[in-house]
Amino acid sequence: MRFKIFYILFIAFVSFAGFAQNDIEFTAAVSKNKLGVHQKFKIEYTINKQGADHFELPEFQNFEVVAGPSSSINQSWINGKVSYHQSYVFILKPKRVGVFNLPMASIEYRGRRKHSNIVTITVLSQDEIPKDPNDPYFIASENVHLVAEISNEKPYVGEGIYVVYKLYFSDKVGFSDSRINGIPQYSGFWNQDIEVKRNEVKNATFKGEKYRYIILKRALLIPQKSGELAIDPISMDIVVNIPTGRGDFFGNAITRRVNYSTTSGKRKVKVKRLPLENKPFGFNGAVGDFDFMITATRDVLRANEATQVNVKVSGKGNLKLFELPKIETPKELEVYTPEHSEKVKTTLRGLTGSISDSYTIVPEFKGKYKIPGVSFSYFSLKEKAYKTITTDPLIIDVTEGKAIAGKVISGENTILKQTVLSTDADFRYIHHRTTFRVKEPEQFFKSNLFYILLLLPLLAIPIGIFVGNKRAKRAGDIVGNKLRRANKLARKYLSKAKKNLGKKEAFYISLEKALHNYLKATLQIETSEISKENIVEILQKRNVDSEIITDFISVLDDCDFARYTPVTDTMMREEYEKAKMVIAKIDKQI
Amino acid sequence: MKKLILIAFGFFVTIGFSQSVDELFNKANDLYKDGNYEKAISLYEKIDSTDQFSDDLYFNLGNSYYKLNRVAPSIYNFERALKLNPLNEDAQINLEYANKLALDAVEVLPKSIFQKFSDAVIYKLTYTTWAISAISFSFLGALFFLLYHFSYASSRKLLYFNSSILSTIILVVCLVFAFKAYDNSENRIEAIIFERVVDIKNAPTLKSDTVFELHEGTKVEVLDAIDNWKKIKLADGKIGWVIADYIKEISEK
Repeated sequence: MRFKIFYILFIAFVSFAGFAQNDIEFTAAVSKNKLGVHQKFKIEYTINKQGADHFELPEFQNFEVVAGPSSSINQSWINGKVSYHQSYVFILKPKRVGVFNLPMASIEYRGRRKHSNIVTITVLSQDEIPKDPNDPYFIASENVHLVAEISNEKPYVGEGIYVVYKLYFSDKVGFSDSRINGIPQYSGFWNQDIEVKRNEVKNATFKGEKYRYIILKRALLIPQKSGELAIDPISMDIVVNIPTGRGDFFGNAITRRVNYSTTSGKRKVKVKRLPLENKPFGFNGAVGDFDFMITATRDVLRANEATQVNVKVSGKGNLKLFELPKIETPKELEVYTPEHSEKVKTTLRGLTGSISDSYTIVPEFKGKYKIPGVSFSYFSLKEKAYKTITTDPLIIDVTEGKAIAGKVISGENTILKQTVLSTDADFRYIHHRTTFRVKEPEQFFKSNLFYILLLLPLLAIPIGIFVGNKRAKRAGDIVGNKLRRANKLARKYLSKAKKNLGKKEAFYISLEKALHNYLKATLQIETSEISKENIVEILQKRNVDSEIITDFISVLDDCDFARYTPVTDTMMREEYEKAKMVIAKIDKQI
Repeated sequence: MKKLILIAFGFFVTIGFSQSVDELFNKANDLYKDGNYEKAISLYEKIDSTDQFSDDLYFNLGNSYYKLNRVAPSIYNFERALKLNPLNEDAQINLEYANKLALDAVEVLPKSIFQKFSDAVIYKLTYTTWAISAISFSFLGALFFLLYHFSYASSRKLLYFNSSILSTIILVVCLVFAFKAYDNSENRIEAIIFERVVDIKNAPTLKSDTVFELHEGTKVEVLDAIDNWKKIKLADGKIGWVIADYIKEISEK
């Protein structure tokens, strides 16, 4: 367009440089001022003088600018008379029904603004268009129909439906060109276009009449939410060839070409929500008919070898629109992020094929590992109910490799400590021999018997000592007893003498008395019988050594002598010790 | 006629039960050997339903369940065997294998020195063993004391006296261990999760929030019970509530 303008201007400048001054005219003209709401019309603002500039665009409030502005310059010399037209053209389309004034446009010419005239347009609704049977537009509208066909107007959320836009035209008319304006938006739907490969003309019956149709556009729609969803209409500009009823020289019908624009009506789809009752826990929006399985490429392998676990959903339905259930694996298995693959074909019947997640698993240690079964739930359109497929658990058996074994301590938390043991810690075979026990009605620990047995030794100690002493007495422990007795005797009889050590008279009297007392106590003799001769005789009878007897007597003699002789303290002490020794010796021998 | 059949039936049943447990055990072992684990299990379980028990029985049961990839009963029986005889090394190793079949790996909280000691020493023996050793040392201590009392030679006296004191100390230690082991064995209830996936709630009601999820075979400690809910504690210290039917407490019998 721009190029055109320049071209024309160039010619204008080269060829001519002056004008006759006439009255300036700035006019607005429309192609038609009575039209249907879907029809377009042309408005042309024309000025007949050169040099006008600064065209000010009017605001078309009730109209939509389909094309423009484009401008053209037209200059002509006819019989020396120069005429000049410069025009600005818009193609407009009304937005609503009513009577409207097209606003004025203005242009500046030699410093002055010039306004155009006002044009009135009457916009009628489709039905109100005068039905003049000869009006080509009417003929076109009667014979050409743009229709959107929907496979299912009440689908469930997630159920695939398809929309097909068809152009029906009757035998009476032909069409030579068509153009689709704008791609329809399907808000609230997941959609995928299905390409129309060939514009095949097919025959069909439409409204009871024979029609031909072509498919313009097809799309698979999957509603994503419930409620009333609108499917946008498609609008088309068609060049319709309408027969004029006349024939040319050869008898061929002469047709007239009419630019006809039409639209498919707005269609509404009522999307049903999936039932809430019995909705499985893990339902993630799958609608259709599916098969679900989990397979492993290998389930018996060695450590550090890889196996692949394949989670696969196949069938028909909204395959791309839900997530595959995930597998759970024991922590000891090394699992990599799954590889997702889709083999899905889009057809008018919906999406078919399969989607799968492939997990690569590398076990590190020997042992058996369980990958629990996975549930997959979907809404079956055939049965109008939820269905759940649960797979069997997979068992991965790692036959060779390092074994892990933590030290298990009963009673404490036993979960793995990840100590790596040598390969010989194999799974142990069953035990072939055992001794069965029966649970005792009462526990030994904390029972009365237990406490009695525990405290018995404590009681046994004093009893043992008592019994031991008795037995020792009876057995007559000669040496020990006698020795203890001698000391006891000495303490008993010689204590007075010991007290009187240092006092000469008192000491010897008490010493002599002590010896006498001793004899009285041990030999059971009367004091009257006591004379030295008697004593010797009695002691000899008792088989006491004569040496000891002599000693005893000498002590008694000493006691007599000492009364009349001077005695020192040391002598007294010696006498005391001597007496003690003698008593002890006699006691031993009796 | 009916009565007669009933009597006859009762007679056969009695015969069935009167079969000695050792015979059943051997039969089950043979079935295990042939790979007929299902039948072996039913026989082992039959022995288990009597009042007879042994750690080997539980060990074999655990093995059979392991062969059938049944995680929870396998772990449960190995744990039972170990509870009965903490020194059963085979059960320890096979429990390790069975634990690999389970999904949850619970990180164990680091243990204090005292806990480590408890595991390594105290829980190695049952409380009955500790009780018997305590009594033995009690007798020994008394014996040494009497020997001390009746001996004259000072060197011997010293030896006996020291032995007596040492025995008394060991007696006290054994007694403390017996009480500790008893406490651990009787008051500490552990359980195995038997349901495939279990939601652990933060309160004993169905409506309360799920704190975490556990899978079958995981061992938990039971702390408390309300209605049909059990308060459980994991090895990593997490606490929650679970419906009692989903877990099975480890009991010797």
